[in-house]
Amino acid sequence: MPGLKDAYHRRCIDCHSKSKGPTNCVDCHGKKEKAEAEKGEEEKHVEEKKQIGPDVCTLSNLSKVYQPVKFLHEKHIALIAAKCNKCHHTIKEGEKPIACKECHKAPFKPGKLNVPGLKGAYHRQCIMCHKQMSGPTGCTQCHRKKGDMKK
Amino acid sequence: MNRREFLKSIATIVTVSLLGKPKQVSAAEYFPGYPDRFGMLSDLTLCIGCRSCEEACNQVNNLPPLSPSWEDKSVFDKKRRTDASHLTVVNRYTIKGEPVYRKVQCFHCNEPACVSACLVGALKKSKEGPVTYNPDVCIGCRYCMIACPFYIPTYEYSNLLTPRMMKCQMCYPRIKEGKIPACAEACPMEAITFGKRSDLLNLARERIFKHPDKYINHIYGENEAGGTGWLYISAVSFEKLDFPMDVGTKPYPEFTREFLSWVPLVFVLWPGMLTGLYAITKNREQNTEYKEEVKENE
Repeated sequence: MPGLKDAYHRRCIDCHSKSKGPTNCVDCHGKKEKAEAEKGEEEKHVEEKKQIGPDVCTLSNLSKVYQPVKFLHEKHIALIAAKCNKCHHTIKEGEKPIACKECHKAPFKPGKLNVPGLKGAYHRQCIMCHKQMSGPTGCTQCHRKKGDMKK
Repeated sequence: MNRREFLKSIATIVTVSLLGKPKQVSAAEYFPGYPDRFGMLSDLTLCIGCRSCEEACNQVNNLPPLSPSWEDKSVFDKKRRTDASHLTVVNRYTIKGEPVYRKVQCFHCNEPACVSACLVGALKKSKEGPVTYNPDVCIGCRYCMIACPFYIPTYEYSNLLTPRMMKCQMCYPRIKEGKIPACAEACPMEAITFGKRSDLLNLARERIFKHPDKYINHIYGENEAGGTGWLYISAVSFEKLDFPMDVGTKPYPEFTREFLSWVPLVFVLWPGMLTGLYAITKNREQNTEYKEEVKENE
């Protein structure tokens, strides 16, 4: 069994290379060429924000075909430089985020058709951003099928 | 009956028929549709071509499992049409190097051509919005297939004994139970929104208004073929996605309405006129016979 570091690297790089996602070190590990002070500040900011949100979110509300998705929340905070409102779109920069399911519940509520349901909100948010940032967009790249035991 | 009586009776028949006509016509006059009817809005900018809608449709309608499976993307290599075991299909188009997916299914027209073509009333526009089908009444004439401007209804040719016309019915039984149509429920992107048609039009307009750079300013189905229950918004011209652009904005039943409104009149007038002609001829014959008899007697 690979260690934690290897497990991350293998799984991420494997998937990213298949889906033409970023595979350079700096794409995930932050930009090394930045000034030390700036880097320190950014890291501090990211660390602060990481403490607010969970490390991993398990999305299991609607899993019929697939296993629950382990959304690496901590990882994504680092990827977007802790700009929480990139995803938690109702808040302003620096405000405490609201969980997705607080607003996004069952879909197609009369009078609230412009608010997607939880499933729609996740998929739109993830896929649209992954398209922009060349992340994986195939179904099984995030969802592991039920009964599929491979890690 | 003499000529005067005949003309009199014809005039009476015409008057009575014309008096009766407005009532006949009113049944076929323009009907803007039930106000709270449901519809669907497909946002083609959101569809990712996962084919979950196809999978869900086949499950709910007890159709054979998708072949090839919904995960097999090779189906996109050619354009598909709806058939007896696929009431909805997703096709892929490549526009400026980017894939655009289009879901195809019944449009659930406000005034459906298939309903007006059906001889036995097997097809109906329900007040909830879906165009429904009753296989127990259907005689298999397939006029609906010819009438549909979107080429949607298909026929179970493989079913020898109890063939049915097959098309999407917007999950009418599910709607009656207060549920969401299966495809809309299954869509991970909520690219298909289910709701009242009037609300969906507002939603579509709002999206176009907020993102004029993303959408073209056209809601397909708002006016096409007199308006349809299934609406589409898109980033690219609908013409490029094989949407029929020649359907016009007139409801299809209107093309035959004028003619059909005269049919009941003809049914009343024609027999009356023929009976009259027969009576005159008969009368003339009798008169001739009588005259001949008189002549002979003289």
